[in-house]
Amino acid sequence: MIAFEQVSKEYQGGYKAIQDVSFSISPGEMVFLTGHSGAGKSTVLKLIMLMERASSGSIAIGGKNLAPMGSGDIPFHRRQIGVVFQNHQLLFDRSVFDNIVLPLRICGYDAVDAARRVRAALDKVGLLDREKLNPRVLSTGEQQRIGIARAIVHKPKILLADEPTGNLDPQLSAEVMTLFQQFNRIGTTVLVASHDLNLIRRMNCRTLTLQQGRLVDDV
Amino acid sequence: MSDFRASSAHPKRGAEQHVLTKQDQRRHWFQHHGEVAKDCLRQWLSAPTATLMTILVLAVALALPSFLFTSLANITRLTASWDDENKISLYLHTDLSQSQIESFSQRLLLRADLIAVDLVDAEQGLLEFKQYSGFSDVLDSLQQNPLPAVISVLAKDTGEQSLEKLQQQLYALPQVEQAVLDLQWIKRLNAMLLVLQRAIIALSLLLACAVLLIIGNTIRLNVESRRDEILVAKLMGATNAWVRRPFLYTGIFYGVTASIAAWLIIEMSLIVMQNPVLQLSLLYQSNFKLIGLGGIGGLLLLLVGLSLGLLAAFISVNKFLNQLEPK
Ligand SMILES: Nc1ncnc2c1ncn2[C@@H]1O[C@H](COP(=O)(O)OP(=O)(O)OP(=O)(O)O)[C@@H](O)[C@H]1O
Ligand SMILES: [Mg+2]
Repeated sequence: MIAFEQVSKEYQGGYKAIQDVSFSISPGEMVFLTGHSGAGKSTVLKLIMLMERASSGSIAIGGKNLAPMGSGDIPFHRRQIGVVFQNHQLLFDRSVFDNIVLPLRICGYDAVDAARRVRAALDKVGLLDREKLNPRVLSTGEQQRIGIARAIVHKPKILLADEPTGNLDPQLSAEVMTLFQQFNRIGTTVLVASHDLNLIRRMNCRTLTLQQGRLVDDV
Repeated sequence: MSDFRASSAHPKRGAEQHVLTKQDQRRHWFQHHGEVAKDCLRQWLSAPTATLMTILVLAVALALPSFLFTSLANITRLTASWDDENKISLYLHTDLSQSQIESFSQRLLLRADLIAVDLVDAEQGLLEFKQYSGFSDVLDSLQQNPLPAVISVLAKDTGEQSLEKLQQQLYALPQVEQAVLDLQWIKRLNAMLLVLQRAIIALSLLLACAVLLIIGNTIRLNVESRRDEILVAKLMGATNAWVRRPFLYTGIFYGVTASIAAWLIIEMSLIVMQNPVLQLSLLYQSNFKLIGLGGIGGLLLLLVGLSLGLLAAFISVNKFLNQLEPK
């Protein structure tokens, strides 16, 4: 589902964020990506999302090589991926409902169907009664969960999460992880970047470890 | 948190991957256009003064060239009635008798280089002059008709040189006192109008650029204020067309409303000018009336406004979208 082959990324200014990274994640797998701050976790996710292009090496998602994708293909590539961002990226000019419905509107769902799916997603993260509120008034943990609901509302094939438990207490973190596991169980490929080693150990999943841009461990 | 757990009991609910048919997509396309248009309207209504000011500035920029073009069209229409540039007036000697004049005019008719010969005899000329000049009392007190008979001829060849040659030839005839190629000045006027037209075109282009810049800048600010929304939407797989759509609507709105306002400005100034112009033209025995933009002109103005708005919006949004392309 996700295949990196000797991928390097050099940002403008010459900083090598990742170097020679190769790994492969099969469909339906759940994998953690860990490493120190600045190790290049977010960079890997950005490369998968085509927010950045690899400087060398090749990346294939769902069997499709990313390198030849132009601006016309990128939207359709991104629609099969749900992302939970490191800094949740919620829009404060609209309600929780309108935040979560955005990916559905972009994909072109019928309004009634979309509303049903938004409520299902809100129900999953346990915030069904907050739908009309502005996300600004929610707690950081709740905002994080709204971000998760938005990432999964259109049932993506791949779910990427960048520090999804960064702002959550241990109990909530565990619950979010359970949620990811549920998605994984219905066939979604899940890749979670996190440096919460305790949590990762408890999850007992395959773990990729980055160190200064190089893949040093894959267990 | 209880419902959070409860939901795990049926994880499959709503989990079916949604597949969109072509029909769905078309319906969605229309639906999105509708939403976007409504959204646009809501935005303008939320800042009515700012929107109105921008529209007025745009309207003035659009009205000025349109107004000048309309004026030019009116002037051209006025001079078009004097389009016989190949006309030569022959003033005959006053001592010729009526029959001599007539036979002379008959002979002119036979010339191959003339296409029309029109005799205005002295009596007729006097009548017309009395009627239009207001000097009838003075003229009545004269013993003799002071006016010569005039023959207007139209030359076949309209070339400037051949016209002058013909004028010389006719002038050399013994019956002719004077031969005047009287429409030389119309040529000059037409040449001047042409220069004026070019100047107006240049000015119009400048003002079109101004309209582009004003709308483009308004849209750019609009884009900046919705930056986060665009970034997030792009990451969720929004196409550039989807992102662009609301801004294109805004651009079209500005273009079209400004065109309509410009049209109103022009029509209103023409209405204000109509009466004085009518009085002036009455003084010249003409029933010249000002003509406004008309249907085609109005449509053209609307189209120009619309395309400028669309173009400006397109450029502004694309500049922003291009920055978001992955590197
Ligand atoms: N757009 C950019 N331009 C230049 N350098 C960048 C850019 N984005 C990231 N970097 C650099 O690349 C390195 C890896 O960044 P990345 O965000 O992938 O780290 P990370 O592992 O996600 O760290 P964290 O755990 O703090 O989120 C960092 O040193 C960072 O400074
Ligand atoms: Mg990061």
